[in-house]
Amino acid sequence: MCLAIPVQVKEVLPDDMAKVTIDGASMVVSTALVDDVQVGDYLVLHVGYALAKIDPEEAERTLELIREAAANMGEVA
Amino acid sequence: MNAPLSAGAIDIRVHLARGVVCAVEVESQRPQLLSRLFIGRAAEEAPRLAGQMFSLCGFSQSTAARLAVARAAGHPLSEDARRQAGAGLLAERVFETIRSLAMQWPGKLAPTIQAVVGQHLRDALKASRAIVAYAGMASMKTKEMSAPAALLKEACHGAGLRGKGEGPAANSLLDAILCDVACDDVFMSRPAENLALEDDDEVASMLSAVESYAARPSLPGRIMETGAYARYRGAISQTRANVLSQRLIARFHDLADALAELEALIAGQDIALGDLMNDGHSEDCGFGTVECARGRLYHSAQIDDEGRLLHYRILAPTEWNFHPAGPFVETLLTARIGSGETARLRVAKLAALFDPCVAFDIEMKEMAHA
Repeated sequence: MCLAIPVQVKEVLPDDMAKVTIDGASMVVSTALVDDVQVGDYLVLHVGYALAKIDPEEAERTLELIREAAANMGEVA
Repeated sequence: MNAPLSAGAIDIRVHLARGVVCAVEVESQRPQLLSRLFIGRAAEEAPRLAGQMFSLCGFSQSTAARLAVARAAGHPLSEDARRQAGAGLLAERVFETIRSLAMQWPGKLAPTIQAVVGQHLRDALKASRAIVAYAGMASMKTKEMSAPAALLKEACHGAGLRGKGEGPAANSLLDAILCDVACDDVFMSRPAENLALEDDDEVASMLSAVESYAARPSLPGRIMETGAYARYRGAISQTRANVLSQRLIARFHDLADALAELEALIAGQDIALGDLMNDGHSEDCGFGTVECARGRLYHSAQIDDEGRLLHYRILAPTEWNFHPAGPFVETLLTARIGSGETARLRVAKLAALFDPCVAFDIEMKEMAHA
């Protein structure tokens, strides 16, 4: 099960690519499956490909869940 | 974040001796224990949460949660609700199968094919999302699903899918992948049993009883596989000797059958819903099972007197297929895969056809000679 960590678009690149940030780190991903990607959008990725665009509120809710999960992992580690 | 989570990955270490695989290690970097997030929440939150947490097969996750929670509450889903959910499961399975082949195939595909397949993938995504949206509604929406189901079928045909039992269309994506594996016969078919409906009670019982079962599932004395190849192996193994081709053709069979079942559901005809989803009780827990793109997905839930989740567990199909003693490892062992980049690519193609729900990394290690 691949965790759906939202990433934010920092730069739209040619050929359906975009630079995104995740937890402070940058990476380049394919946006070929997602229409009209703009700087500031939140995307859900799988193995370097954006699968969906989600609104900022949903992204924040998901990130909050992930923070909670990370805290749980810390407790059991 | 206290402990940053990665999206998850599988590390595959292949030990070679003179070009033959002599040992395989499979190690999961997947975030485990995520299902603990469900505990203490209102039971009705589980389907939304399950659909939100994972990047792939969100509707399948959500439906398995819905089945489990409804069973745990003593109010199993109605036949109509199952039929509506069934359409969403089938549409998601079709898109995810095509997406995975098109976007994650490790072999080289001609740029002309990649250029054409992009539009078909976007159409398939749009169609499956529309069907999933209708499938999530409270009232029956099968009539409204007709147009997106036709678009989904058209997109699959654009990728090269033809009727069940027929080879893919010439010069298509599916044809290109089939050609890529057709001459690369280094793997032997190893018998693994199909994880099926009749196994659900035993699996759900173990899942609810032992937390670590979700990471390393097994059934005593059996090597289990789940997904298209496990279901269709008997139907295709006599006509094709090449293991990679067999696995790919099983996907074609699965796609053709899923599209036909989707059409039948929309037309109001009966299909074997039990093969698509199942639910039941194990100890004090309800469980829900769905057959998604990669195989059988289990959710198990227990609800307290106040309607909150007391227990929650999720078992993904990848855990069976990439078990350290499971069918992927069994297929690799003793295969004469050669060395260098050729060997690594052969392992990658096999892994891609087992299709884990997370990324995978491959490391090749040549054993020192005496």
